[in-house]
Amino acid sequence: MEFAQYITYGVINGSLYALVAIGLALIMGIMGIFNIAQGSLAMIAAYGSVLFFQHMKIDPFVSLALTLPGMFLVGVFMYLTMFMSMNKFDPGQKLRNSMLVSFGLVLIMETLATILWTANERTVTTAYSGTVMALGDLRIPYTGIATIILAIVVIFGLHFFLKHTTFGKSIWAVSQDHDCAMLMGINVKRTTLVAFGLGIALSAFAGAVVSLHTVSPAVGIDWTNKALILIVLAGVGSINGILFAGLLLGIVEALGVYLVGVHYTGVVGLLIFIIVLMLRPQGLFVRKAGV
Amino acid sequence: MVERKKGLVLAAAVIVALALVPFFTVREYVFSILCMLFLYVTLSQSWNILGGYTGQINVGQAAFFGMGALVARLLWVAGVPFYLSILAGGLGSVILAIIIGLPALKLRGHYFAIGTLAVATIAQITVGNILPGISFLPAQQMATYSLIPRYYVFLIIMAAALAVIYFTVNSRVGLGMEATRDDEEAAQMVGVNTFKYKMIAFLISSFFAGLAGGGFAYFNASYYWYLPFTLMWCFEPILIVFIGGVGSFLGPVIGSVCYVLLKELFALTLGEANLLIFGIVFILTILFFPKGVIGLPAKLRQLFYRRGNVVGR
Repeated sequence: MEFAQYITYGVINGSLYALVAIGLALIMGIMGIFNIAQGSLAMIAAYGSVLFFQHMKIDPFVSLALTLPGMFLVGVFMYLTMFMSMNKFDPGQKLRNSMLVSFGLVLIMETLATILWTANERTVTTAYSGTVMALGDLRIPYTGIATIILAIVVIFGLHFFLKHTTFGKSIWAVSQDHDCAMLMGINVKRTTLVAFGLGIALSAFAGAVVSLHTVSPAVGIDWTNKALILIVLAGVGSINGILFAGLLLGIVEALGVYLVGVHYTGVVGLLIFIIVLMLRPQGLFVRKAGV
Repeated sequence: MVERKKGLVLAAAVIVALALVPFFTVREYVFSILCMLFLYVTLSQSWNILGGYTGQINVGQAAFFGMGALVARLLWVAGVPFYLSILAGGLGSVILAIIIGLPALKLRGHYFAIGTLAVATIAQITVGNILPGISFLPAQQMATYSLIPRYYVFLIIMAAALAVIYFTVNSRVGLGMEATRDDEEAAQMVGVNTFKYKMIAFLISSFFAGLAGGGFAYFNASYYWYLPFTLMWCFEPILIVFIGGVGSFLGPVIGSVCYVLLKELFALTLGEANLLIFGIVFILTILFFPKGVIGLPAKLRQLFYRRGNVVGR
């Protein structure tokens, strides 16, 4: 039974990883921009949730109504000032430059958060945090259930949006052929701007969930790391695959905790990463052969 | 060829002059600044051979720096002679590089960056979990602590790194590295084994990053075990290389001088906010001066040339 409990926590953690990774997957898979700062943005969004809760007693899931548009504007600002100018580069150069710039952003955001909110860990304690649903011997925290539901809704919602709405399809079109999309009458500049803003806004979902656990300035790069491992597991360009990759990483990590102890959780993740790189570098959930 | 010889003689003269510094001054401040300078030159030049000459962006240099520091410190404190422990630290970093390089460097694109970042974050957290405390020097080593041997250790590591990297990038191997960076597909087409050159660059890079880490472990009397693994050690070499000029041999040296001076200045006046300034400087460099200080004259000439053109029209 203890084993099932570990797996449950693995599933919950995995859903959270998927929530952090989904914005990164959108921006990287569709726009070719490698944003290492995604986890740090989730950290900033989480501080937003913490502050709204501390000062106005707004529940993190309710304050999403404020943090989502807030992060969207942050994304728009980032794109206009930094990433838009990279569209003139070839894909390799764009990937490299965006990675370096966002690496600088990681440092800026971590320092800014430390100056503004100190390096101490913070958390949101709501009426329901700590309460669990008992399912036989299994104990599932309500926040965990909310995380899983949120991850499923957000990821499948994004998938539906990209595949079945006009605007979503135009995002795909621009990603496939920038010039051709322009000739078809798509406003390429607006589409890429909104897509990037959307990718950054998605970090607010992760932020809301993270604020219910603990948030400190240093967690940003850690979340990015999990998100990047998920991208490699799922394969670049896969949206639905992110959820499954998240669950896989979460469960394997939980198994690692169960078998070798909590100190080595990260090493287990790294091992899966290396194994996938060796055996199936295009990702587990992409059918395309070769890289 | 004559130019190159002149440069080498000049470099040797500078190194010899630096070796003589302890005979002229005993001020600890001078030594510690110079030690930091040598450390940053080593670390950034080790990043440059891989990132600048071979085009593989390592965003996790801290893992290799930290590995060198960890192994060297553990062995040294346990009683192994220092020169052996620092070499063991370098080898530890090389082993880490082989583990991550073999799968990640076979592939193109983002895999190497993700792999190195993953190694760095995971190493930091794992070391922080296993060794949460501070590493103190044992009393008898503390009693004999002196800056002079530290100074020479850093100087020797730097001279070795500069020499090895200089002769590597100016050899046939260096040509292979640059071919890999400029167009990997074309290079493979004409028969260049790009994986081999990427791996050579990565091994040299990680070895000297590890030695620099060993120097750090020798220099500091006490520090948190996880400190050499922190994100700053990933960021600093990249920042220095880009400020100085990426893919040029003098770039990291110039960048390190600028960085150490600016850091002293900012840390005194701005405190914690100095990292903010460096982050912004870094982003502006990437966006507007991708060739760094080395590329400034060409950039200015280009500006004038363009202006002249407009007038001509």
